[in-house]
Amino acid sequence: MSDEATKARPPVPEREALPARPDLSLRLLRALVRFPVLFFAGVGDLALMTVRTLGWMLRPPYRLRLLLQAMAFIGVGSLFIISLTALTAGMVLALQAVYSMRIFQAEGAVGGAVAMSLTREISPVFTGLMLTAQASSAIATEIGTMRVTDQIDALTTMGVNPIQYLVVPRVVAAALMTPILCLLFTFVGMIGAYLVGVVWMNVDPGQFMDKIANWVKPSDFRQSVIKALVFGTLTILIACHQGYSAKGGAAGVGQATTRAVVIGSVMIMVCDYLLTAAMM
Amino acid sequence: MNDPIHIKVEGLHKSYGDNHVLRGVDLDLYRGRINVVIGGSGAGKTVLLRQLIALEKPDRGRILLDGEDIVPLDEVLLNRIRRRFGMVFQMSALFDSMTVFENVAFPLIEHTRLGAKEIRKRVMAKLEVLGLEEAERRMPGEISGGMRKRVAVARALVMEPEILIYDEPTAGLDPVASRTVDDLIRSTAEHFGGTSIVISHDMCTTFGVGQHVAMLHEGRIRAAGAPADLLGSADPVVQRFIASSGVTPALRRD
Ligand SMILES: Nc1ncnc2c1ncn2[C@@H]1O[C@H](COP(=O)(O)OP(=O)(O)OP(=O)(O)O)[C@@H](O)[C@H]1O
Ligand SMILES: [Mg+2]
Repeated sequence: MSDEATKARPPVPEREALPARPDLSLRLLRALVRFPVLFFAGVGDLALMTVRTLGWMLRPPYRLRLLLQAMAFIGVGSLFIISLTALTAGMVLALQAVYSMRIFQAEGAVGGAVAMSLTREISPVFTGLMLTAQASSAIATEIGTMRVTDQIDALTTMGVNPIQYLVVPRVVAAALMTPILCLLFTFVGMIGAYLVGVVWMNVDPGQFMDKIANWVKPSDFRQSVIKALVFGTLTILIACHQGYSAKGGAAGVGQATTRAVVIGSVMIMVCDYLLTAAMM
Repeated sequence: MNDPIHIKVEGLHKSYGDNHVLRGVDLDLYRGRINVVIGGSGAGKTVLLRQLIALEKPDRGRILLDGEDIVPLDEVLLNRIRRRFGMVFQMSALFDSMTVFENVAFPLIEHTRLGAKEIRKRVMAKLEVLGLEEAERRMPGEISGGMRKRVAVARALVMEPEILIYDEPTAGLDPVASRTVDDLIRSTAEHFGGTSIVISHDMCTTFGVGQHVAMLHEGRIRAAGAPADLLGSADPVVQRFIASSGVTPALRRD
């Protein structure tokens, strides 16, 4: 901060009343140090959880019933919200594409343009975000409640590993379901684009379809599926981790849920950039 | 095995950061008896119990179960050891996504290869003993705290463990319900014949059901012995703790 900026600030009267508060620069420094420390501690903790999850995933018993339950919860539970956002996303993308391409009389390419942005970016990111909103929050709340009411310790004392019982089925279900949900997102999104482009804005249907095949390569689908897999697994893992480390009663569970959603969403955006850069 | 000492704790230490909670606990828990551990709030009773059932690893010390130290064991071996314990949590810790029946059947489904019929028979037997046949299909959220505690006891008992542990079984219950729980602890011990460990700061429970009492104070066992020994203790700390609860020697055993 520059000298002028500090001087220009009006004096805060309460500051004097407080006894021996460390001055601003020291507090700023402390806050600056604290964030990375907390951040890396959190990342380390999550990494540990990931390793334990992988370890318990391979060990019997394999609880198929719990896996199917988690798949139904994640898949069926997110079906409606994913279809809805996909439809509107496809429609709005088509609208934008038609308007901007009309300038060059190239609106026939709208199908291709929408299909490309859907497969490469919009579908995996939105699927991940919707999963975070729908499934992650519910999972963090459920596992967090189990933590603060000792149900997780009860599992352990009954000789059932809670990571294996609670985390593994949910993470595996996320890894299996998100790619499917992502493909569904793309499909429904294209229906939306067709409605706006062909039905409403009179783009030639033959051209619409042709351009899809021209513009979208199989590698785009591979990228789409890989991204969705990473985002879905990551956000559910974060949700499990937050719930698992919740403490302090109902308020603690609320915090865990908020953190699961915030961290999950941010991590999806960060990973999206990294994965895009890596797969270009 | 005829050693009267079922679990022997030696020099147990546990800290959380700067908070040195257990500072060298030495404790004997007797086979086939009701052992009570008392101590003030925050004395570390729950922490001690969490080490006993290996929910956490102590920093130092040994926990000998039938002479075998369980502290160095890994998670897979511990899962086997833990089945020898039944644990009744303070807030019951029933799985709230399962019915009463499913809660009690849970350990059987997880650890045995019994058929559905046999599981049903064993679960219903336990529920009947505890007067819960009617509640079989109810969810934990739909029954009273006292009933939840009984379901928790049924769940802890269904695997017929050697050792049954209760954490503050009467905390948060009214006096009448508390005495019912005391009766439950006593009759359960008579019925199943195993070792019971009760963590409590309820003096009625302590001297009503306890056959061996130990007091935890400032991270160590301050006094241990028969209930009468503690009541007659000359130690001012023990005296003050018992006196402040308002229990007089007249209240001792009925
Ligand atoms: N997981 C933990 N992390 C940090 N500190 C802990 C943890 N568990 C317990 N403590 C601390 O250990 C001390 C003893 O706690 P404990 O729960 O064993 O007390 P207690 O004897 O069971 O008391 P109460 O009768 O109130 O249940 C407390 O100061 C508590 O803050
Ligand atoms: Mg306690």
